[in-house]
Amino acid sequence: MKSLLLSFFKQHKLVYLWLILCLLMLLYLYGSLRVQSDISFFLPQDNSEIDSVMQQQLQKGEAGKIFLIALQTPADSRQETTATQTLAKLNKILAARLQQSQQFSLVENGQVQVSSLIIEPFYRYRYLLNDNQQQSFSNDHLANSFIQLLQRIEFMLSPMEQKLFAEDPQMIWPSLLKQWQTQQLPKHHGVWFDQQARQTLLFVKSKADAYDLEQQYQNLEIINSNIKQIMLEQQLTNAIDYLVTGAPVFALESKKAISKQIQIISVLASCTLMLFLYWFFRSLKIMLIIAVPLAFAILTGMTAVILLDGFIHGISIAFGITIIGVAVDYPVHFFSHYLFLPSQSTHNRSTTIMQSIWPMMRLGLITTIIGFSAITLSDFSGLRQLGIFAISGLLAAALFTRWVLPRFKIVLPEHHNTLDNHSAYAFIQKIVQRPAAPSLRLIAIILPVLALVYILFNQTHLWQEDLSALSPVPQWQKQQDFQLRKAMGLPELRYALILQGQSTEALLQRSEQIKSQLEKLKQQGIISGYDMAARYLPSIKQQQTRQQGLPSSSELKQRLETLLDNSPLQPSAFSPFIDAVNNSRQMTPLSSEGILSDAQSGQSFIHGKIKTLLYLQQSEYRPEHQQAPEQQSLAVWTAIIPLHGVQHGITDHEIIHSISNQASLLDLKTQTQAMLADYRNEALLWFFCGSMLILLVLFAASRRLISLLPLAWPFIGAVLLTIASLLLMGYSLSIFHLVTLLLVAGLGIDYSIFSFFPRQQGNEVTQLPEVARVSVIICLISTLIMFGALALSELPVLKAIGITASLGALYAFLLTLFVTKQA
Amino acid sequence: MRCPIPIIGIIFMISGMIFPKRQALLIATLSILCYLFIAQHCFADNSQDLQTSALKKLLEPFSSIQYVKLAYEEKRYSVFLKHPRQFSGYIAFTRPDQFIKQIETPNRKKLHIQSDRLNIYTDQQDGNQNSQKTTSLQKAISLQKTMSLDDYPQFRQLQTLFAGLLLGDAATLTQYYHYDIQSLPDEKVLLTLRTRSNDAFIDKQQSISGKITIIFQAGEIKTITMASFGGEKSELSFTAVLEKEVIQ
Repeated sequence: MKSLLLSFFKQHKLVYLWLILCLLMLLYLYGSLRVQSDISFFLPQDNSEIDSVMQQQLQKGEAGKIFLIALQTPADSRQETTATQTLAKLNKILAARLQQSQQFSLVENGQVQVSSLIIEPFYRYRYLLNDNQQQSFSNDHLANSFIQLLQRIEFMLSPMEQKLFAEDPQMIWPSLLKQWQTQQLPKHHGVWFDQQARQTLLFVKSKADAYDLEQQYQNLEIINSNIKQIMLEQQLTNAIDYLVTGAPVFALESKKAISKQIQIISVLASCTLMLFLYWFFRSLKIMLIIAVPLAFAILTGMTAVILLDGFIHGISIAFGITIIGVAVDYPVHFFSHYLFLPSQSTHNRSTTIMQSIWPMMRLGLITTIIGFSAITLSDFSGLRQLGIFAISGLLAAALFTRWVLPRFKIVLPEHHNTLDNHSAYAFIQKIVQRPAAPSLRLIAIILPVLALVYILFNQTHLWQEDLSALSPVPQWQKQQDFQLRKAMGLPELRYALILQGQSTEALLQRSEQIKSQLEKLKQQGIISGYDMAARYLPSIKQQQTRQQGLPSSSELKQRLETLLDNSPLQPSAFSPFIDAVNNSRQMTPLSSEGILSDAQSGQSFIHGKIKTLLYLQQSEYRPEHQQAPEQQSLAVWTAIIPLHGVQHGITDHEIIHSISNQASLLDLKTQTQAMLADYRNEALLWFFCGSMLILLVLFAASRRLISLLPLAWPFIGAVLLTIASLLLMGYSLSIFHLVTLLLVAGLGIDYSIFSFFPRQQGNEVTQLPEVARVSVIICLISTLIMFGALALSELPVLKAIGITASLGALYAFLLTLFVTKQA
Repeated sequence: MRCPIPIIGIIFMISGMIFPKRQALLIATLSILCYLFIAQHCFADNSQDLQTSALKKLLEPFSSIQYVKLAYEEKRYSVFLKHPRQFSGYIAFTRPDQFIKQIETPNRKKLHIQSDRLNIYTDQQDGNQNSQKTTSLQKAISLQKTMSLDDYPQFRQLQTLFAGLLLGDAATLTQYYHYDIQSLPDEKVLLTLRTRSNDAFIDKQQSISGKITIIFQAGEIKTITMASFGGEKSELSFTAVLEKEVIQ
C-alpha cells in the first residue's frame, strides 16, 4: 500500500505541487487582497508640479468630497407657494439631520445659523482680515456706521445683535462674511432655491477623502435614507422628487457600473464559452478541465500584482479576466490535438502530443509576453499592473498546460479515433479544407496597405483627446450634475494659478503680490473673478501692517466721544469695540498652521475654503531648476488660485507672462490632453519596441526572412485593419485600444504559428495542418465569445477592449488563412 | 379630591385601628404626601385649563378683527442709548399676516412685514424739512432694503406676537410663549408672555424679547412692554384706535 501510494505520488508529484501552490496563493489572497478604485492610479507618477497638483486634487481635493442635493416639486405641481414652503421645511430638516450624522464637515443651505455666525478665530481677527481697514476707521465711515446702528436700535435688538453692535459697530464681520460667501442664491423661507424656485438646494461636503469610496458610499446612503425618512414622516413620499449628485456620486456610479458589467459579461461569456467548448469536444470533463488553467491564470495574475504592488486596481481585474480569451488557447490546442490527431500508439499519448505542440505554443507565449512586457516597463503604474497581470496569467496557463495537464492521466478522456464520426470537428474541418481563391492572398496583402493609407489620411481623428469619453457615467447623469452646478452658481474650474513654496507665509505673500495683477485682468474682462487663500487668511506681514494702522484705545475713545457727542448713542456702550481693536493691535497674527492642522480645524466654510486653496503636498517632485535631475521626495506647500469666467487667449496675455515666475497657469483641459498624449506616446513607443522584438523572435524561429513574412504579416495586417475599422466606425484610439492591440498582435502570431509550422516527429505523424487549423478556429471562436461579450458592454473602456480584440482576432485569423493557405 | 379632610381622617382611623401607633402615623403621613402630590397635578391641570380659557376670553374681542390701526407712543431703553428714546406713530395689522409699524417721530420710518418678507422704508431727507409735510408717504419714504424674515427671526417674533394679540389667536401665542394671566385693579388684566426656551423657531440668541407684559383694559390693549435678555426694553402704549374693520 505504501509503495503504491509512493508510486502514485511520484507519478503525480507535479499535480500535487501545483495544488499546494494554488492553496498558498489562495491563502495569500485571502489575507492580502485589496482592491482599489482610485482612477488617479492610472495617472503618471513621475510628474511635474502641475501633474502633482492634478493628482492631489483627484485623490484628496475638496471638490471630490462635495455632494449637491436638490429637492424639487414634480413638474406638474400646481400649488407653488405651498410647495416652496414645504420644500424649505424639508430642506431645513434634512440639513439638521445631516449635521447630526457627524459624517459631513459642511452642510449649507443658505440658512443663517446663529451658532455659525461667529466663526472663530476669524471673528476675533476681523480687523486684521479686513481689506478696507483705512476706510473703515475713517471718521466718515464710523459716523455712517453709528447712524445705521441708531436706526436699527429703533427696533428691539436680539442678544446676538447687541453683541455684534457693541463689539463691531462698523459691521466689519458681516461684510467679511458676505464677501466670502460666494453662493448668492435666491432664498425663500430662509433657504436656497434655484432661480425658478422649483428646486431647493443643499451643498454638503463629506469628511471622508475623495477616494475613500467605502465611506462615500455610506455617506450617500445616509443622505438617501434621511431624505426618504423625512418624506415619509411628512407624508410626502410621492409628492417630492430629489436629486443627489457630485463627484463622489459619479465615482460610486462608475464603480457600480464597472462591477455590474463585469459580472454580467463574465457570466454570459463564460457560459457561452463553456457551451461552445462542450459542443465541440462533446465532453463535460474536457470542458471542466479547460476551466482549470483559466482559473489558475486569474489566480496567478492577481497574486503577482498584489505581491508587487500590495493592491490591485478594479480595472486591472477587469482587463485581466479578459486574458481568459487568450489563455484558453493553450488547453484548446492541447485537447484538439490530443483528441483528433490520429495515432497508432496510446502509450504516453498526452505527453507526446504536448511535446510536439509545445514549441509552437512556447513561441506564441514568448511573443505575447514580449508584447506585454513593453507596458510593464512603463512609468504608468496602471499600465504596469495590466502588463504584470497579463504576463503572469498567461505564463501560468501555458506552464500548467505544458507540465501539469498532461499528467492528469486519470481524468483525460480516450481520444477519438474515428474523426469522421465527430460531427463538430467534421463540420469545422470542411470549412478549413475548402480551397481558397488565389485572389484572396492578394487581398490579404493589399487590404492592410489600404488600411494604412486610410489611417494616415485620418490622423486628425486618430486619437481620443477627451478623457470624459472614457467615463462610465451616463451622459444624462453628467447633464443633471451640470445643471445643478449651474443652478448653484458653482464655478467651472478649468484655469488656475499654481504657486508652490516651502512655507505658507511665502505663498500668501506671493498671492498678495499677484492680487493687483489679477484685479487688472478682472477690470479688462479677461476673467470674471478669482479666489485665493490670502483672501481669507492674509499673510502675517500683511496682518502686521494692518495692526500698525489700527487706532490706539485712547485715540479711538476720543474719536467716539467726539462723533457721538450730539448723538443719542452713548460711547461707553462701545467699550467692547475699543477693547477688540486694542486686542487686535497686540495679538499675534493669525497663522495658517492652526487653521490647517486637523486637530484644530473647525467645521466652517472658511476653514474648508482655506484648506482647498492652500495645502501641503507630499510628492515626488523633480525640481527643474536643479542641475542634477534627481527626484526628491519632499513636502511642498501649494496654493491654488482658481480663475473664473476666463476668456480665450489668457495663456498669451502679458499679465500672465509677467507673473509666470511666481505662479504657473494650469489649464485643466489642456493639461489633461497633454497627459493623455504623453500616456499614448509612451504606449506607442513601447508598442513599437515590443513589435520589433517580436519580429526578431519570429525571425530567430523561422530562420529565413522569406518565412518571416507569412508569420508576421497576419499580426501586422490585423493591427492596421483593426485601427482602420475603428476609425471607420467613428471611434478614436485611447490607451485601452493600444493595450488591446498588443493582445491582437499576440493572437495573430499564435494563429500564424500554428498554421505555419507543421511538424513531423519520427515515423509518426504527430501533427496534421488540418488539426492545427481546426484548433486555431476553436481558439478564434473562443476569443470572439469572450471579447464579443465585452464589445456589448455599455462602458466605453470595456467596449473599446471588446471591439478591438474581436475585430483584431477575426482579421488575424482571416489573414493567416489567406496568407498561409495553399490553393 | 375636594374633600381632603374627611379622606385624611378616614385614613387615620383605619390605620389606627389596624396598625400600631407608630406605623399608623407613618401611613397617614405618606397618605397626606401622596394626596398633595396628586392634588397638585390635578389642580395644575385644572389651573392650565382655566388659564387657556381665560386667555381665549381675553383675546376674544380681537378674534373678529379684519384690520386694525392703532396710534402708539413708545419708549425705548437700550444699553446703547444715553437716554430712553421716544417714538410715536401707528401700528397696523391686517389679517392674516400683514404687520406695519409706521414711526412718525423723531424720524419717519416704516417697517412692513408680510408673509415672510420684511421691508424697511426710510425717510428721504432732501434738506428741506418742510417738504416732508407736503409730499405723500410713498414719495417721502423710500425702500431701504428687503429681507427674508427667515434671516431675521426676531422680526418674525414681532409679527407672531401681534398676529396672536390683534387677531385673538391664542393658539399662536401658546405655541411660542409660556403665559400667565393676572387680574389688576381698574378692570385691568396683565398678560405675561415668556419665550419658550426649546423653541426651534426662535433661537434664544435671536429672540428680541425674553419677557413681554401686556395690559388689557375694557377689551383693548393698553400697553405692551418687551424686555430682552440683554437689557433692551420697549414700552409701547396704544393711545387711540385709528381704524378698525371687523370680519363680516
